[in-house]
Amino acid sequence: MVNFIQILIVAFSLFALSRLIIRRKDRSVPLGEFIFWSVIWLGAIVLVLFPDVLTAAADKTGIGRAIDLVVYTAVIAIFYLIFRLYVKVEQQQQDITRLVRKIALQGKKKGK
Amino acid sequence: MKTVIVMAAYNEQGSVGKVISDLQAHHYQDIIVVNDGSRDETEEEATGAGATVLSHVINRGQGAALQTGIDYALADGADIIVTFDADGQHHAKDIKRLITPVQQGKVDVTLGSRFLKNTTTAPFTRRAILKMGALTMKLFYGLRLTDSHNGLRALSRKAAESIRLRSDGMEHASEIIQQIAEHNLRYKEVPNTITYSTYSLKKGQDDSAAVKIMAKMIIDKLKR
Repeated sequence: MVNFIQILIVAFSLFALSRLIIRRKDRSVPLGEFIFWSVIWLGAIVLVLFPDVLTAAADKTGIGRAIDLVVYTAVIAIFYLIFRLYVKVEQQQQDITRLVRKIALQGKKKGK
Repeated sequence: MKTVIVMAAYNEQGSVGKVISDLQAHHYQDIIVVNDGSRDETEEEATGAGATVLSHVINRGQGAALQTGIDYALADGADIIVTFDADGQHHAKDIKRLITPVQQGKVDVTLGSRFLKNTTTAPFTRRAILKMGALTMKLFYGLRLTDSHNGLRALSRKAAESIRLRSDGMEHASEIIQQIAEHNLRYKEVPNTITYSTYSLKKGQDDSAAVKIMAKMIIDKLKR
């Protein structure tokens, strides 16, 4: 009934989940992140053990193959994450410039 | 009216000193050079030539350097602030024509244009890209300019106080245009001469940078 790959993925996901829970207990993982990754690992377990769930979803959205649905979703998620990163980096650049500017102006007040 | 010249300088050793002396010869004594994290002797050369030098500990980009210089000039009581290139592309004699409309209170900002009197030795590709840039300015911000990326500008105190550059790099030129439009500042273009030498051409942006700037402008517009 269950094949080798399924066992492997479920085992790994359970392992990852356990590590996640430990780190959550330590409070070294923020809540948002914890929920995000829990969903991923639980999702992996569910989808691997009940692949029909994915096929049903794929049929509902009219996509056809389940794996296509996964890939499309992943691509959208990646675009979104990259956009968030970009915004963060831009903000950091501006923050750095503000710091450098402050140093430059302070240096002037003390010096000449 | 106190006129202050602000220059951003990044590795302009050998050029910045001459530019400062030339400005002084034209009776501009308030010169601020922002050393944008240069790795050469730019700072020493500028200080030695008699300019007030501010130093960025790391390189942030021309936009950031100019804004730092503008902040200092405002704090120092400037009435008119002129942005000027440190690489010798600009001419001190163009400044008078540049600041007169601002001194007379007719406009808040004057922008140099190398295309108004056709006094340019620009290579063809660069001219083409700049023309496209000017067209983009019109489309995005509604400003009709002949030269959108000329570093020679004069800002009234009021204009300098209203404009806050958030972009660090070369796209600051577009951001200035955008803020002129946003704050409804009165502006005018005056002709100036840009001298291209092999030195300054090497330092200038390569033409592909224009595409990157366009992309940033679009993204910026979407963010608002």
